[in-house]
Amino acid sequence: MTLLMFAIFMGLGVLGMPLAFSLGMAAVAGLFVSDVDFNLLPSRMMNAVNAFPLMSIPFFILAGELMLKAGMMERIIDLANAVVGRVRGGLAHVTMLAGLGLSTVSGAAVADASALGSTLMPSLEKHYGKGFSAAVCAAAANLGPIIPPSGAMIVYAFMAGPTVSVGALFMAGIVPGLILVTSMMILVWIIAKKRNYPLTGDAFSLRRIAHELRRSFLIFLMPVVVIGGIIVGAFTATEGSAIAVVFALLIGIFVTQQLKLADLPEALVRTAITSSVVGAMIAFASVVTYMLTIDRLPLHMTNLLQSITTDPLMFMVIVALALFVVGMFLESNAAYIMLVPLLHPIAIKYGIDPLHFGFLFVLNLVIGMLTPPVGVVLFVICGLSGLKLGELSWHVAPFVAVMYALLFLCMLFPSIVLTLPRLMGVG
Amino acid sequence: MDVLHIRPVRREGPLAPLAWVVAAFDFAAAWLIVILLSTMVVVVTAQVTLRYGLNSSIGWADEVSRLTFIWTMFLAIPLGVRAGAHIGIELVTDRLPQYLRGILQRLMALLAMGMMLLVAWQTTVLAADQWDEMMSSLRFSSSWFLVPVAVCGWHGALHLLWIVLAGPPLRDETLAQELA
Repeated sequence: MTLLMFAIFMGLGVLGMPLAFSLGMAAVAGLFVSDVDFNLLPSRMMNAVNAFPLMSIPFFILAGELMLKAGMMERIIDLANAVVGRVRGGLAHVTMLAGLGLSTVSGAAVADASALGSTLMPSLEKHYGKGFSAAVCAAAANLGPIIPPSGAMIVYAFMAGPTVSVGALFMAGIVPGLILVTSMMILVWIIAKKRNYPLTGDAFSLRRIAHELRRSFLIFLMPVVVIGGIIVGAFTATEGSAIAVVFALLIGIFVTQQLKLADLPEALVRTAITSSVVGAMIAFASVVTYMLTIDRLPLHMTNLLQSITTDPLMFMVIVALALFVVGMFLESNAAYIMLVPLLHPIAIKYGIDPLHFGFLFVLNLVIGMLTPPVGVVLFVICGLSGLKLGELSWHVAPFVAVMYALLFLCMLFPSIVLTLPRLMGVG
Repeated sequence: MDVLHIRPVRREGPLAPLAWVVAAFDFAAAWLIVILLSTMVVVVTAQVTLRYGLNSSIGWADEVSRLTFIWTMFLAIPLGVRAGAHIGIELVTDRLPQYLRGILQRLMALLAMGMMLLVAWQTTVLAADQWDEMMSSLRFSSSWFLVPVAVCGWHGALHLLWIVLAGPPLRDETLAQELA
C-alpha cells in the first residue's frame, strides 16, 4: 500500500497535478486497497485542520502583508542603508539586512523574495549586474523561515507533536540566523572586493542611524512584543500572531498612515488563499500519514535506519542527505507534512534532542528552496529578474554553500541551536 | 487577477452558465472569508485582552475561532484553484508541447475532480449522520465543522470541471509567488 500511494503521489505530481490533490489521490488509493471506511477521509481532513496552533499561519501571513502595505519595507531599507550602505558592496549588504529585518515580521521566504526582489533588484542591478543581484535577493529572502516568526517552524512543530514547541523552535533559529546573515555579508564583501564593485550610499553617520532607528522603532517593537510574549508564556503562538495583526493594523493606519481600511478585504482573501495551500496539503496528508501508519511504515523505517547505523550523528547526516534530495524535488511544506511524522520519532529514538533535530530539519528544507529544479525562491527571483533557473542557481551557489556550512556546524555543535532556548527556559 | 473583483470568465457561449455559477460561488466564498478571518482576529485578540485586562475569558472563544479557521481554510482552497495558487511540479510539463500540456492539465483536473466529488459526497453523508451531536460550548451541531469540507469538495469540483471543459484558469502570478 505504501508503495502504491507513493507511486500515485509522485506520478501525478510529476504529471503536473497540484501536490495537495496528488496527496488526496494517494489517500483515496490507500483507502481503496485497504479495508478502512471512506468516511475516514472527511473526518481526518477536518480534524487535521481543526487545530488552534495552525491559526498562527494565516495570522503571521496577514501581519506581514499589512506591514508591507503600511510602508514598512521602505523604513527597513532606509535603516539598513544608514548602517551598511557605505561598505563595499553596500547595496547587497543593505539587501541582507533588509532581509533580516523583513524576516522578523514575515515568516515566509517566498513572500520575502517577492518583496525584496521587487523593491531592491532594480537598484542592485545598476551596480552589480543581474546575476549577483538576483542571488543576493534570493539568499536574503531565505532568512525568512529561519528567523522567527516562521511558517515552516509552525508547521514542523504542529506535525512533530508535543515534543517540540513553536516558541522553542523560534528561539532556536535566532543564533544560527544571525550567524548566517553575518557569514553571507562576509561573502558579499569578499565578492564585492574581488570584483571591485563601486562604493555606493551616503557616508556613515550616527545621527542618520539614530533618525532611522526612531522611524523604524515601532516596526521592530512588533517582533519583540509578539515573539517575546510567546517565549515568556504570556500568550500562545496563535494569540501572539493575532496580536501581530492588530499591531500591524494600528501601525499602518495611525503611524505610517499608508494603510487604508479598503485594503483589508483584499489582504484577508489573499492571506486565506496563501494559507489554504498549506491547509489543503495538511488535510490530505493527514489521511496519507494515517494509512502509512496502518501499513507500519514508521516501524519499517526505524528498523531499516537502525540496521544502517546506531550513531545519532550518522543518522542526522543520512537525514540531511535525504532532505537534500527531497528539497530538490519536493515543495517544502509537502515535505514537512509527509516526513516529520516519520522521521521525528526516529530521531528521538536515536537520543537526539527533538529541538535540535527540528531546527536542522527546517534549515535543510529552507536551503532546498534555493536548489534546482524545484526551488520556490529561485522561481520567484527568476520571474522578477528574467534570469534562467540554471544561471541563477550558479550565482546563488556560494550562498547555498554557506548555508550548508552552517547546517553542518549546527549538526556538530548543538549548542549553537540549543543554548538560547535553554537560557530562555523553553528548550 | 484581483481576488475580490470576481467576474464570470465567459459571458457567452455554452459554458457561460457554468462560468456564472463558478463566479457566484467564488464571490460568496471570498466575502465570507473576509468576515470569517476578521472574526478570527477579533475573537483571539479579545480573548487575550480580556485575560490580561479584566482577568476573565470567553468560554466559546476557542471553539468559534477553530470553527472560523476551518471554514476559512476550506473555503479558500477552491479559490486557490481559480488563482492557480496550488503548488505543483512543472518540471516535466513545462517541457511538453502546448497542446499536450493542455490535454494533461485537463486529465489531471478530471482525476482531481473525481477525488473532490468523493470528498464532498463522503463529507455530506457524515455531516448528515452526525447532525444531532452538539458542540461543547455552543448550541450548534458539531457537523458545522464538517460542512466547510463538503462545500470545499463541491466548489472545488466545480472549478476543476471548468478546467476540464475550458482549460486551465488564468494564473495569478503575484499570488503564486507569495506561497510559502
